[in-house]
Amino acid sequence: MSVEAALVKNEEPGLVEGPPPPKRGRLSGWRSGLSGLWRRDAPAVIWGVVLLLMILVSAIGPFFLQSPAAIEPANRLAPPSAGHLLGTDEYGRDLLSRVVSAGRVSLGLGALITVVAVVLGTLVGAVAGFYERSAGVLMRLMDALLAFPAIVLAIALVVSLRSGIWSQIIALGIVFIPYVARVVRSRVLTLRERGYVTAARAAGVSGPRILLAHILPNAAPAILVQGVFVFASALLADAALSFLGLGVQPPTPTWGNMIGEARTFITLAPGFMIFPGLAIVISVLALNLVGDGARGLIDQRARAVLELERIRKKQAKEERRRRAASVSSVD
Amino acid sequence: MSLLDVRDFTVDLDGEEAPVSLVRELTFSVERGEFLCIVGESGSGKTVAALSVMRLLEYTAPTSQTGQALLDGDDLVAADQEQMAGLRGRKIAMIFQEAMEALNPTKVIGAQLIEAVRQHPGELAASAGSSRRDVAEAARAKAVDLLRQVGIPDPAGCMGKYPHQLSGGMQQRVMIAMALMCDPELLIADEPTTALDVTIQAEILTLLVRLQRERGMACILITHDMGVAAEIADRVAVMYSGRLVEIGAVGEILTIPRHPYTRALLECVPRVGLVGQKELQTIPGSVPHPAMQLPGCRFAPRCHNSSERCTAIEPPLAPVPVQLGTGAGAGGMATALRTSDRLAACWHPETEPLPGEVEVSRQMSDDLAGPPRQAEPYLVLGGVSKRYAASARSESLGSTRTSGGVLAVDSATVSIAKGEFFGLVGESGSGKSTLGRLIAKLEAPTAGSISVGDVSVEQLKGRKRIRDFRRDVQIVFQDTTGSLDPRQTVGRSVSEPLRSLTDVRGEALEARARELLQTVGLPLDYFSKMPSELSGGQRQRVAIARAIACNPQLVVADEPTSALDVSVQGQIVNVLRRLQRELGLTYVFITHNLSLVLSVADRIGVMYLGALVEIADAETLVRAPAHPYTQVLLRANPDPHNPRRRSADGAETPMLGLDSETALVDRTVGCRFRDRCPRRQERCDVEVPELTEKRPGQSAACHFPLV
Repeated sequence: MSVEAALVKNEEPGLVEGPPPPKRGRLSGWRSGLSGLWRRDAPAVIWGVVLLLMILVSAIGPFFLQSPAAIEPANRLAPPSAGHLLGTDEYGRDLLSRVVSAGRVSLGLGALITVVAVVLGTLVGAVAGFYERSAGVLMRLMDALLAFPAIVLAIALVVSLRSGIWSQIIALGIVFIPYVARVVRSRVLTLRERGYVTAARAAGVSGPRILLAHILPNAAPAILVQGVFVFASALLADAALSFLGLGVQPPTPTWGNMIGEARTFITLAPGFMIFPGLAIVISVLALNLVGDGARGLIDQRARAVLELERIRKKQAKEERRRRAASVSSVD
Repeated sequence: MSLLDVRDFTVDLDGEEAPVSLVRELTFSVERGEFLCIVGESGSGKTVAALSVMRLLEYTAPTSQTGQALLDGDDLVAADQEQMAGLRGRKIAMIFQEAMEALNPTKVIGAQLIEAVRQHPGELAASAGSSRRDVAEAARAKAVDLLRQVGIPDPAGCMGKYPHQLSGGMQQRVMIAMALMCDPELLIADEPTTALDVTIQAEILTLLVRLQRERGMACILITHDMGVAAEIADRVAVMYSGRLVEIGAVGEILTIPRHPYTRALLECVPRVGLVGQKELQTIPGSVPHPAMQLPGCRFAPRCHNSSERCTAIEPPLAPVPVQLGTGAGAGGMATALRTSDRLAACWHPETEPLPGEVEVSRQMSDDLAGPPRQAEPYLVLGGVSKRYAASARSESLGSTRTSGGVLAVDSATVSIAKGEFFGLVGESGSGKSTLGRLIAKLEAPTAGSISVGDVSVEQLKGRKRIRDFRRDVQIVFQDTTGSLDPRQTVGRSVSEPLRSLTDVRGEALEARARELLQTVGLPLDYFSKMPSELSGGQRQRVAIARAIACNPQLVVADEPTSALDVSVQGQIVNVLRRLQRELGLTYVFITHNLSLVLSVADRIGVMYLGALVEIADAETLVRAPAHPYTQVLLRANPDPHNPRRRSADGAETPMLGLDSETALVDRTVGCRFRDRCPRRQERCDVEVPELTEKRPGQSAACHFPLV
């Protein structure tokens, strides 16, 4: 009758089914580390390294470079030289140290904006997806936010809030909530139909607990990927605000306000505008490509297609090599 | 010369490292006018083989094939895709399992049929004249004619319909018509009926055999179901783990299987009529992945009769003589003639024929059945109904209008005793799963009462009482991949109900979870594995462990074996039955598999379009069904132990008045089965039959029952 009794006579045939089918090694190879990742999507890995370098340099660079505020009136708008690797701006400040410390501000701001958008967006999306009745109100609110051009909404919010770094973070954070909320909601809508959610209900697990224990962990990869894309958009939006003079105020440098300042000197010192611009382009590009790569990893189907393409390419290459070899041997 | 001659056909999956053989050295041939069935469990490589012969697989997977596949002299292995395009459709055509997937949803049926002929207008142009108009006209006429041949009620009207406007069975008919547009000489059907109900499956199979006989076409049908093969095949080829293990005439294969795997596969199919079997036959272990390197016979690790030779050297496919005079039965004469066709890849071929019909006396089956039945009912359903609103919106608005929407369950009334194994069978849309969910309180009934023990389910209020109820009633689901959270370990999944429903925590919790894994026959180290590391059968064991974690009284098992291979199905059912004996569980076992439920359940309820139409014990149901629908189901059930006989032209259909478009019947007046019923009379159109007792222990909802 008891489970103990059941334990003793466990003698039916086929008790242990033997090893499960081996996992498709090639597709799960990415777990084996960076080498697998590299083989799968080399560009994403390269851009990931670039991104990490940029973050690292922005974080610790200012400690090794001269002060971004040190002016040198005799040496204004100078071209790159040994003393100033990227040249100087209109007050003779070193552009390299300004770009680097602007990176610290811009990337930091972008990250904070992303955190605000992801946290609030996940909350809205999860609630709207899991509790159907709330979806009407919440998602219409999201639609309303989406209906405004992002930058106009951001400007309106920044102006209406007190100006300052936090109001900028909150304003842009709010702007990007819908982009996260929509993804999270659609994910939650599919996940809540999964068998294990029903099974958890049957096991008496409460709604909020199901959301936390079963749904959000399974939605996490999608949220993470969307977060990377939001980061890229936040960087751009922040740059735009700064450029317009609505963001962080000089003399604190950001990539956006540096470009804004450089506007008038574009013909005199093109480097003044080009270097912060390049920093924005590279970081946004890197974020987007890393995001694409990450999306490829979580999307099984996309992964399989990529895999097939890669093998085809390899086969074609071998074929060409074989042909070339046979031709040369004929010669 | 054979129409298709496959020799040493190997399909390799090219990967990073060495290529992996998915199908290895396949050798078989198909004659004109022959029906060959390729049977195998999942992972046997049967679909890979068929798609590779068609040279279609390389579009979706990096595969390459070697060997030879001569179709009427053309080598399909050596041909390039351009040459293949010339052959596909005209010489060799294919139909797939999911007709809905294979038909373009944005184009009408007619356009898709005509498009199939556009590639090869040759013969049509020859007969209809040269102008494009004439050819198009001829193609159209041919399409309508083919739709008629495959049994579409209104062929001309169907030409203008979109795929979604047709039922699954009708879609599969359209697929068949499309495959026949260019009069292929070889038709490959890949599990064409697996997604369909048994009654519709029977019709489609009948149709396939009739078309094949009429056209003198060769057919290869791929299936996992020995019963299907038994019903339609001339010859059967059995595949296992990428290898052909046995091939021969259907009568011989079914009566004297020579390869142990074939035999085991046949033994795994529950025998209808062998009521109250103690244990279902199973094959221990699981199919090795084709990529796995094994030195000897690939079946050796699971074989009851393997020797050292088996594990060292892979046996070749070789002729095996069939001994005559072993009481093989009807196939005796044919056996003598076709001995050379009989090949098996085994060092120690089986010699004993399978036992024929086994009669089990009532006395004996009662001894072997679960705990003695008590009169005291445990689960009582009283007129339980569930209506789904036509749209989610009207449901959320709490619309109580009675019109519109679907009555998924219509006044189900039954009482189930404690310790009973109650089977619930029905086709898709019969409401059996909905009823299961209502019992488990995953959904609330629209009307009626459900009581479990002395608890009235629909009046349960309050957290504590619901928790008590959930402890007593648990559910096991069909989908073995979906029912476990992919991000939680097995141990965590199993202990989930303990955490949410009991106060067991900490070490006691873990100890209990490990104990549960042992109870369902899983090794202890599975505790920390992830679901993705487990096979389907193992995942289902975990799901069962989770269901019995809190010592429930009643377990609703919703198609727990449908997603599993037949050899694993028995393992799961045996676990369920052992737990029933040891823990005194009551089961509501929901399934569409008639053979299975008839051999394991004490009593069975048959559902049709939302209503219980017959309730009887298993033995009575098999021997003397009362409701015509039950009889139809029994006849449609493919059973390799007792295949339906077909006349030589295959045209004979064993069922009367079957029509797939049954869901359209007006369920509010008269009998819901009337449109398909061979015994229909006027009364059936006006008066709803009540579920009443026709014989002691057997009730049916029919005005003119069979008993």
